Amino acid sequence: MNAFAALADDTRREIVRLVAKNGELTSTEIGENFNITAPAISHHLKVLKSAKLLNMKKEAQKRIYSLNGSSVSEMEDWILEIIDLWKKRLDKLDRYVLKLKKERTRDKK
Amino acid sequence: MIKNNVETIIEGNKVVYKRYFDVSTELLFEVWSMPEHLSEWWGPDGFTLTTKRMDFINGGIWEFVMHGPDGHDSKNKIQFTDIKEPHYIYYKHLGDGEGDQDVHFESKIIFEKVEEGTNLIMEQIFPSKEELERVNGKYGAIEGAKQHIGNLAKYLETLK
Repeated sequence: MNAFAALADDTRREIVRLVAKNGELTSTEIGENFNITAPAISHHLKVLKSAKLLNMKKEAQKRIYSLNGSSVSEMEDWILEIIDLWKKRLDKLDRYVLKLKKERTRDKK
Repeated sequence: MIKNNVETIIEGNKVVYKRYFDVSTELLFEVWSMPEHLSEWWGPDGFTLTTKRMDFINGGIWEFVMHGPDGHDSKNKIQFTDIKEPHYIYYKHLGDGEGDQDVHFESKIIFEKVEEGTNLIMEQIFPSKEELERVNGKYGAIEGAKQHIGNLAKYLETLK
C-alpha cells in the first residue's frame, strides 16, 4: 500500500500524528491512546510500516516506532510536483480556450 | 496574463487553485468534459494523451494514458463521482489504472460565472492535513522566490 492510501484511514492518520509528536513510542503506548483491540492496532502499525511511514526497531520485547522522515518528505515533494503540474496545465487550458473562443466567434460571423 | 495568474491556497488537507478564464462557463465546462478537448491541454508541455474510455456521467470512468516526451507512458484512471453541467465536476483517482483501489485523492472542479467570464475553482483533497501545512510553508517560500525573480526579470526588461 502506498503512503497516501495508508493515510486515508482515520486511525492510521491519528497514529502517525501521535508518533510524530512524541518522537518514539512503543506499540503498547500507541495502543493506550485508542479504544480498539491490540490486534487491530498491530494491524494498523503493520500497514504504516509497510507503507514506510513509520520505522520500527525491536528492543527486548518492545517494538518501538518512529516517523520515517524520508517517506514523509517524498510525499511533500509529490504534492509540490502536483501543484506545479496543475499550474502549467491551467496555463495551457487558458491558451486553448481563448483559441477556441476566437475560432467560434469567427465562425459565427 | 497577470490577471489570469493562478492563485494557490493550501487550507487544511486541501489545495485550492483559483483562476479566471475569459470565456463562458459553458465553453470551459465543455473543454473539461470531452476527450478531444482534454487531449489538447491536460498533459504538461511535451506530453500527449490517449483516452481509452470515458463515460462522462455520475459514477463513470475515464481511463487514459499519458505519453511523456521521453517515451514513458503512465496510466491513469479517474471516476466521476458527481457532475452538474455547467456548474461542477467532482472526481476521484483510482490508482494507476491497473487496480480499482481508491487512493483517496479527490478533486472538485467548480465553474463560477462572473460577468463575461468564468472563475475556475479547483480543490484537491489529500489525506493528511499536517503534510499539507508543512508543504505550504515550503511552497510559500518557493513561490515568493519565483515572484522575486519574475519581478527582477520585468525590471531588467524596462532597462533595455
